[in-house]
Amino acid sequence: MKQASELYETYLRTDMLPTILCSGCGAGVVLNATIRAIDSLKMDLDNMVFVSGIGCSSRLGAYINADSLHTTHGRAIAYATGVKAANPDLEVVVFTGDGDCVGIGGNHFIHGIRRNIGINVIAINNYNYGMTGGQTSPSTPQGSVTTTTQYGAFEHPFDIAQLAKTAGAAYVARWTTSHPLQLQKAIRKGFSNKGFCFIEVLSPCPTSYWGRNKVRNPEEMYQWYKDHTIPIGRAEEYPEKIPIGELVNVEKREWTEQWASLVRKVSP
Amino acid sequence: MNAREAIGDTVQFVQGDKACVYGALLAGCRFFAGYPITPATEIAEEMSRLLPLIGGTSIQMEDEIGSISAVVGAAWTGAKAMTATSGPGFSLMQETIGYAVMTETPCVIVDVQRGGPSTGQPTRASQGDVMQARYGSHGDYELIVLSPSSVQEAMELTIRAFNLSETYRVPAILLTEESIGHMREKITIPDTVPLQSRPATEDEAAPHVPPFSPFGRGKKAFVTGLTHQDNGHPSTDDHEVHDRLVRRLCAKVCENMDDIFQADTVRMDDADTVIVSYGISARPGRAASEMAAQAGRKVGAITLKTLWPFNYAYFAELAQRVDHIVVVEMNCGMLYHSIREAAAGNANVTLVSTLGGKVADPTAILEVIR
Amino acid sequence: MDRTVGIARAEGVAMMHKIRIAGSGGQGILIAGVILGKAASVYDGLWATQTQSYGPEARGGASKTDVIISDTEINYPFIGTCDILVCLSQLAYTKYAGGIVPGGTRIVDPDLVVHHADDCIPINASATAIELENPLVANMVMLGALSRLYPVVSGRALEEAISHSVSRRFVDIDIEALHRGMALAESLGTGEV
Repeated sequence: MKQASELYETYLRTDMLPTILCSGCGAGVVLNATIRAIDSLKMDLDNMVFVSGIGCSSRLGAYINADSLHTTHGRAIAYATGVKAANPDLEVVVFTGDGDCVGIGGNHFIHGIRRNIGINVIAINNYNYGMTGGQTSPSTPQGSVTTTTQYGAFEHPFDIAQLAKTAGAAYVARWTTSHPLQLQKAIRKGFSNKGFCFIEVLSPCPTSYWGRNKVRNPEEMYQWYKDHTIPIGRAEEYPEKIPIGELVNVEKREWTEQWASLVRKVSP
Repeated sequence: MNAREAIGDTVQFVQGDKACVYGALLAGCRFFAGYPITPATEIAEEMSRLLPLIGGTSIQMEDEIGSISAVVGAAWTGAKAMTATSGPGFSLMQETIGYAVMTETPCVIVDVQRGGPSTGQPTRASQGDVMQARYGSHGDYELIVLSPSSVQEAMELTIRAFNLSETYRVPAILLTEESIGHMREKITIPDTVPLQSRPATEDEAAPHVPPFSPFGRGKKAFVTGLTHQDNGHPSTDDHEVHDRLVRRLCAKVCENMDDIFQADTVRMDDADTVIVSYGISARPGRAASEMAAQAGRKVGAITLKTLWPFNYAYFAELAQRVDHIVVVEMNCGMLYHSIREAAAGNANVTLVSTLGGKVADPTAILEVIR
Repeated sequence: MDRTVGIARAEGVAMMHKIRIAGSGGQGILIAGVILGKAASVYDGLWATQTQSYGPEARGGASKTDVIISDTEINYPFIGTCDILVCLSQLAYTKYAGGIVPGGTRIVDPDLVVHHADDCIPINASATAIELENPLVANMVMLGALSRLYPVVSGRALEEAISHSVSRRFVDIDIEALHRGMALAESLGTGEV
């Protein structure tokens, strides 16, 4: 494995550093895994576009030394659809979060999957709206205290990876920031799938989420994700745990390929 | 097949919506994203028919927010891109129109106006979005809004909207109405049209306009809707950075007024009264001017093709020359207020306002002049 | 006071005709208007506008299209009262029969507009279409009759417009219907021919 210092110069927009991320935030682990996956796949950074919406996770695109489109809240997948449809040669990666992806942006999410546009979406699920100070999100576990569920969240949360699977994504995986190597491998596999690739990463938000939910030590947080997850193959034995691993990896005709064949068919 | 071949016969009898599509394709538009909405749906339908024939891309998105977002994404790959909608969808697009302003993304939005507020009158014309087109997104900004008064102009001003949008890296809105969008008239389609592209270098760029770096060329552009420095890096706490950015975004539109502003005039030489209108309202405006001429009156008519940026100097000068300015609009008075402000009491300014899909009657305009 | 006619006169327009075609949904009213406008503007070199009713009123029930044909550019494209009214349903006749200039021409299909004023010109369009074994071409029969009764547009231009507007397999039958309409009008020995 390459040293971080080797990757730093090549892949990071150093004049954007330091990041805005809090200490203990899991987003850096996701950035690291993404860069390592890109490096091992020998992808050309000049041919990649990083699209993001609004939220802590959406800042990651700024730190990678490539073309980046930091857009409006919830709409990153729609912008990314425009980028990919207009130039299918570009590799498009979307960084998003739980609120951005399945809260305000839920409709773009399921429709991006439905049309199987060939973009790679990495959703950092930290169970809350971190940038605005810790409000409940569509994925907040029941019972959690957030600034807008001060007596405990009671709404049923989305299982985001399951939602992606049900909507028909070509590739779906879920890992946590406590599983960085598995995450990196999943990103590699997902990026290699030509269709809509969705990777959910459960990631701690020490400042806005865990503090209010009585986990204050970063080590404890990382352990929480290990203790509360189970490889997908054994999920039935542990119904109280969150299944992690690869949920889907299928070949499915991608939107820009279908458009190209339509053009070939109808154009004289 | 090129766009001109795909469009077909030189002389056609078509709806305004279709003429918009022709204009867009002639201007180099190769990406369309839209969502069905009366009375703009014909634009999406025609785009989906013609774009694949010329190697372009057309996509029906899940809503109007998705449509304008996809258009902005496509524009950053270097494509000339457009969406089309009507009032309810135009409302949904406003946040991203502001994003396009802030990120200086060339793109064209067609709003085929219908009666509002809300769902209102889907099949009836209105000019109720004139203020929204200018002020609909939050924050201070300027953009370009053009208004065609015939099917021929729907084509011509769509071409112009693309060219201005490219030159100034600003969203350009073609603000038309159901009446133009659905009416059929004869149009003559040119073989070639003047084409503008977004500036690639400082030398090519108009004043206050930065060069454009499309994605995929190794330029490592960082594009953000956050307040940013000249290199694109966010800088959200420094009031001077924000002040400089916003004033430049406004200046690049307003200070190029001579290039952007267009109006057609008739019988203005010795007019003491002038009818000012735009879009479909210009049709009874011109008819009333002609009827007044028959009756020996000196009544000119001005058809505004550019609504925004608003040309205060033009109307201030006009108010010095004439006694009476009659503004004809299909709303409760929108441009009327700006015209009255510019006239500064030097001429009487009267509003002829119609609502409900009714286009002003020429005789009703004459009654105001009398 | 009829305002719209006032405009045409005040503009000193040498030739301006306001034609309304009305019937019910499914009779091809709109395509008849489009073909008429296209024939006049594209193939006869005149100016034309065509507008139509949209929305709930255009679904299922009444259907109407207004065509203005002029030898100069048309400022005001809307019709208050028309010069020529073509009616293919009783409902449309009831609604529009009064909206016509004094001395204007009203053409009706007597099988579909049973109750009509004595000065209406009867053209058996639907019966002719049935003879042609295609009830859908009654609209073209009417256009043919119109072009003879009120020659604002040439037969050649109408034929061109038809062949550029309808699907290829309908061109021949539509043009045949057009000719039958012309013949019907001529056999009346009335009108302005």
